[in-house]
Amino acid sequence: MRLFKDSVVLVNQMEAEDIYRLEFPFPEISEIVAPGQFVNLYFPGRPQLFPRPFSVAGVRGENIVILYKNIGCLTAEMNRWQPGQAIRVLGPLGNCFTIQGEHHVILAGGVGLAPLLFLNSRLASLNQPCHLFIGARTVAQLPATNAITGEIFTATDDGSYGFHGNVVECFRQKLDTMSRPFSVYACGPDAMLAALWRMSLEQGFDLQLSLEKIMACGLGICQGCAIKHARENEHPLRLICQDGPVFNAKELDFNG
Amino acid sequence: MVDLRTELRPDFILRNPLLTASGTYGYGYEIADLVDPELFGGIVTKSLSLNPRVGNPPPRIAETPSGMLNSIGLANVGVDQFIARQEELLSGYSGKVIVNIAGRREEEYAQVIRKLEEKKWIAAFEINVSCPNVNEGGIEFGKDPLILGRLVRKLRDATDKFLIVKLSPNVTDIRILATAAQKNGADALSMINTVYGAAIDIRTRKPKLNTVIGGLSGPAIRPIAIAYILKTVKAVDIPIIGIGGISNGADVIEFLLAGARAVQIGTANFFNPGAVVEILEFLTKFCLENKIICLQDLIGRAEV
Repeated sequence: MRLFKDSVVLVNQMEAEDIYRLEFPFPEISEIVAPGQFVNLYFPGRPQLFPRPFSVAGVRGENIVILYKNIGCLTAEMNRWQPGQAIRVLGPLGNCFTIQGEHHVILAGGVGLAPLLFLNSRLASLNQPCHLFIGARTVAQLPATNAITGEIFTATDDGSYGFHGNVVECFRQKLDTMSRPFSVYACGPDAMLAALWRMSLEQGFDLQLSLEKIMACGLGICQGCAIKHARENEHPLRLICQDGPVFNAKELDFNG
Repeated sequence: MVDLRTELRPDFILRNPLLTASGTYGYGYEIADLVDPELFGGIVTKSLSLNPRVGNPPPRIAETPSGMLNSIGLANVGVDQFIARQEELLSGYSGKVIVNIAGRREEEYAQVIRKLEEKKWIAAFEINVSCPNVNEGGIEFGKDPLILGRLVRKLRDATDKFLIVKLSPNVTDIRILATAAQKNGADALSMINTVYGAAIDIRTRKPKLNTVIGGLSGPAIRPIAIAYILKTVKAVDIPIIGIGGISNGADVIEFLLAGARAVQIGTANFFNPGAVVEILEFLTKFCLENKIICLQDLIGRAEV
């Protein structure tokens, strides 16, 4: 069940440099939304037409939580929203992560942490332990990790905190210490996901990736968010909004 | 009570002037849970070709000021799958089902029509001769009046249904194409399809669409559509269905005043799933406030 409705901002606060947490009531979906799914926010009357998709980062009672990074004019506008601001939302959209096996590894790059925070809390409620590798450009851009359950490794591009380098390299250094078989769940910049995708092929671990691409509708109608599919002879393209945003690495082809 | 009906021909009356624009509402029921098809006067399906088409490689869309650039490339399931999957749902639709048809060759258009001609639940065909995003069978049918005229004549001979020709704005004088379509048996024209457009990412220096140039839709093109309709209504006698960036009820009134007898809602289906509800409320309120009993009395009443 998905729903288009009016809601209202309850919380809009900074989590890290340029990264904010937005919370709004959406009781109709709070019990059914699953980690990996996303919601659309609408911005009527702007020159920027498309709704903006955001992964659900968690549920608090009847409220939905999202994380956003201040990167453009609409996120800048979101940044100015005060509690009480009326908003229009649609969701839940897309598919979700499939929790499989007993050993779970989460890899997050930047604001890609959002769907994985939700997954982490779901794993915690199932008493399933996990390892988390969280990467950011700098320590200032690392969100607080006190609500996360599990063993956390952090990486910063500039070395200002934790491992000096990207989160995939950080993970590679710990690979031998992980109990196998493990499942990896990841979200982050395309370059990070591509590197992790290659590693999953070399190392043979199960990998689910949450992808993002510009979308005009989020509903499978505009067909704009197509990506190349690994098994081209079946059907060469998939839609991120409808067939994803979560894909198994085996379905994807990051080459070329 | 306000009468929202609009007549394209005495035997082709829409319960209200709102249609979906091809490619923005799937085949009719994919987003029916969010945008009720029964609110529209009719549904125009995504373009159908004889065989399934995958469409163009990504990237396929970009956002521009008040606009959307797309180069989807007529991705569709093909006419046979369309019938197999959609016939039951669409047979129960109480508005007009208008099937949009694309082809690479004249014969492909005719073959699609022949497969659909006997379907009673289809009220009309809309012929896509104006897709800017495919190498063959798109806009070249819509640029040359002789080629367009020959295609329309062939399809006129193939169908007894209401036949709409969707025109491209990417021509020197749209009236020449409009006249050619009318002369060869079109029952109505829909206009405008997307306008050629392109955008470049300044960091990667790459075009934002895989095909480099695509089609621009959205409020950015609305004044172009209004201008083309104002010109074309004087050149033809057949009804015009207005398309181009309609986002609210005021836009619908503007198209009617310009001379359109119905309109299509396209990109707005993406950026506001509540658009059709809001438009219908506005139309009723506008008519009541202005003491207009029949909405269609406004058609062509712009004082130009």
